[in-house]
Amino acid sequence: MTWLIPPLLFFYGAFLCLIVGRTQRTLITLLVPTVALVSLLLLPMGNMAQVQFLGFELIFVRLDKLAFVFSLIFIIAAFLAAIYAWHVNDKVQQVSTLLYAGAALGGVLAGDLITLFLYWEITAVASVFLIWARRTPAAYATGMRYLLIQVGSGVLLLAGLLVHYNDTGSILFEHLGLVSTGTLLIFLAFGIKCAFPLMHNWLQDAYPAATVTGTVVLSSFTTKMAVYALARSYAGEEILIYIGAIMTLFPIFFAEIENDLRKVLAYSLNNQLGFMVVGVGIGTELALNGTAAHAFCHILYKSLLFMSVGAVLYRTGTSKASELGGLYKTMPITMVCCLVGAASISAFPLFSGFISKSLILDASAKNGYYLVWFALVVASAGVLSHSGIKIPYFTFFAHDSGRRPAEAPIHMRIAMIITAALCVIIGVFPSLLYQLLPYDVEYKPYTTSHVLAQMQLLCFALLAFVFLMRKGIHPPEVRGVNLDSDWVYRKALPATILAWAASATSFVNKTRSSLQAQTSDWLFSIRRLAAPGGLLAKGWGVNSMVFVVTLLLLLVLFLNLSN
Amino acid sequence: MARSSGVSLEMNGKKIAAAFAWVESPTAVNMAIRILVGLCGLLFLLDFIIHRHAYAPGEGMWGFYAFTGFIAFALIVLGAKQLRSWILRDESYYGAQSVDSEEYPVSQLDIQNDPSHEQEKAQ
Repeated sequence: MTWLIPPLLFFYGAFLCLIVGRTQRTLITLLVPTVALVSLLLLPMGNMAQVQFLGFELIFVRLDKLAFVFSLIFIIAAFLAAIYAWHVNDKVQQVSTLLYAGAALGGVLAGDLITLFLYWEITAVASVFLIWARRTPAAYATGMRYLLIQVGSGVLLLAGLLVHYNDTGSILFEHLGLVSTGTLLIFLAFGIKCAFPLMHNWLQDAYPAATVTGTVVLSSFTTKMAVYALARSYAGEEILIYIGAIMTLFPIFFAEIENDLRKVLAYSLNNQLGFMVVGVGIGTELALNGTAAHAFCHILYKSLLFMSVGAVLYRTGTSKASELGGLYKTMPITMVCCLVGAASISAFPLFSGFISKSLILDASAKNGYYLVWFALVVASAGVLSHSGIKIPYFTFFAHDSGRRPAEAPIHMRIAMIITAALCVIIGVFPSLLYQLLPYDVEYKPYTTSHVLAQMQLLCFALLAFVFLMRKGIHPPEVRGVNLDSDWVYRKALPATILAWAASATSFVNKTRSSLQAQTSDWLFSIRRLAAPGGLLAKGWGVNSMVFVVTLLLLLVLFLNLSN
Repeated sequence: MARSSGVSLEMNGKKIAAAFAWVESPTAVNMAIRILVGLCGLLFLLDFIIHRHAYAPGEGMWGFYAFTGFIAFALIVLGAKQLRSWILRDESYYGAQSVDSEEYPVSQLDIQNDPSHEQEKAQ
C-alpha cells in the first residue's frame, strides 16, 4: 500500500505521461485522480509510509479528518481540471499538472516538516511550467518572478524548520503556534503561499499569465495547501484573524477596477482566502470546520469561474472585460455555469458559498470579534460586486461587443456542468459536506434569520449596483494596468538601483576627469621648470652655490640646536 | 453517444439563450429592476415581522443588513473609483515583462465564431 499512496500515484502518472502518446496522456490525467480517490478512501486513519532518513523519521502519510477533506477536494479538483483540459496536447502542461497536484496532495498528507518542505518546493517548481507553457517572453518573465517568490517561501520554511528542530528536537508537522524564531519563519513561509497582505502580489501577477487550463489548475492547489498548513500549525493564533480580515477587504477594491477578468478572479481568490484565514485565527471547532468547508466549496466555485472565463478566452482570444459583452447569445451554457459560480461565491442561499461562509461569520460573532465580523459582512457585499456581478455581467451581458464566439468545446462544458452541479448539490444538501468536516459540530445554515439576513444583504447590494449603473457612477471597464505592491520590486527598486548606479558612475567620471586635469597641470609646471631656460635647467654660478650650501649648513645647525 | 449529448447540449444552449433574450429589451429590464425594488421592499418589511437572531451588537436592528449591503456596495465602488484614479497606468507600463501588454498566443486557442450568427449577419 505504501507504494500506492495518492501523491505517488500522481507522480507515476506524470512519469508515464513523459513516455506515451497523446491519447494515453489525456486518459492518464483522468485516470490518475480516479485511482487516487480509491486509494485515499482505502487509506486507514493515522500515520503510514514512515521512512528513516538521515536519522529523521519522515511520515509521508498522516491521515486525519482535516487532511482527508483537503485531500478529497484536491483529487476532485484535479479530476475536473483534467476533463476541462481534454483538448490540451502539451506534454509540459500535462506532466506538470500531475506533478503539481500530486505534490499539493503530498503536502496535505505530510506528517513532518521535512516532507512538507519537499512537497512545498515541488509545487513551486512544477507549477511554474503552467505559466511558462504560454510560451511568450512575458510569460517567461512572469514565471521567473513567481518562481523566485515560491522558492523563497520554501527557503524560509527550511530555515524555520532548522531553527525549530534546533530548539525542540522535533520535526513533527503539528500545532506549532507563534512561539519562537523558528515558528515565526515557518509562519512567514506559509503566509507567502497563502498570499497574506503585501505578500500577495505573486498571485495576481502569475495566475492571469498562465495558460487557459493552467490557471484553473493553479487556482486550486498552492493557496489551499497553505491554508491547510496554517490550520494545522497555527490554529487559534489571534493575529491571523486580523490578517484574514484585511485580506477579505483590500483585494475587493483592486478586483472592482481590474479589467482582466482572470486577474479579477485572482484578487477575488485572495479575498476568499481571507475568510479561511479568519477561521483559522479564531481556531474553535466551528471556525476550523468553516475554514475546511469554505476551502472545499471555494475550490469548486473558483475553478468554475476560472473555467468559464477560460472558455471565453479560448473562444475569443481575450479575457478583458472592456473587450467583451453580449456573449450570452452564443455561449449560453458557459454563461449559466458562470452564473452558478457567481451565485456560489456570493453566497446566495442554495449555493455552496452560503453554507460554508456562514460557519466562519457565526464563529467570529460568537467569539466576540464584532469588528472582524462586520468586516466580513462588508466583504461579502464586495464579493457580490466583483465576482457575483462584474464577471458574468461584463462578459455575457452589458454592452454588446459584437463578438459571436462559438460555445465552449463539449469537454469544457461537461467539466463546467459537473462543477456547477457540485456547487448546487452542496448548497442544497449541506450535510453531505458537513459530515466530512474535521469536527462534529451541529450546525444549521438554513434558519429563517440566516436566509433573511443574507438575502437582504445581497439584494440591497444588487440594488446599489443598479442605482450606480443607472446614475452613471459605476466606473466603466477600461484597458490598463493597476499598480499593486509588486510595483515596489518591479519598478521602484530597479529604478532606484539604476539611479544609484548612474549617480555613482557620474561621480567616478567627474572625479577622474578633475584628477586628470590636476595631474596634467602639475606635469606642465614640472616640465616648465626642467625645460631649457627653466629654473632647474639653467647654469648656476659658484657664488650662488656657496650661498646655498651655507644656508643648508645653517639650517642643519639650527635643527640640531632646537633639539 | 458523445455526439448526441453534444447535440442536445447545443439545443439546450439555444433555449437558454432565448430565455435570456429579455435583457435586450429596455422595458423588460425596467420591469426586472422594479421586481428587484419590490423584492428589496418586501425583504426590508420582513424585518418587522420575523425576529432575526442576532449575535453581534446592532445586528438585530431592523434594516441592518439592508443598509449595510447598500452602503457597503456603494462605498466599495466609489472607493475603487478613487483608487483607479491613483493607480491606473497604460497597459504597456511594465513593457515586455508583463502579459498585460501582449495578446494571448492564438496558436494555443480555438477561436471560432458561431456559424448561425454569421449567417444572420450575411442576411
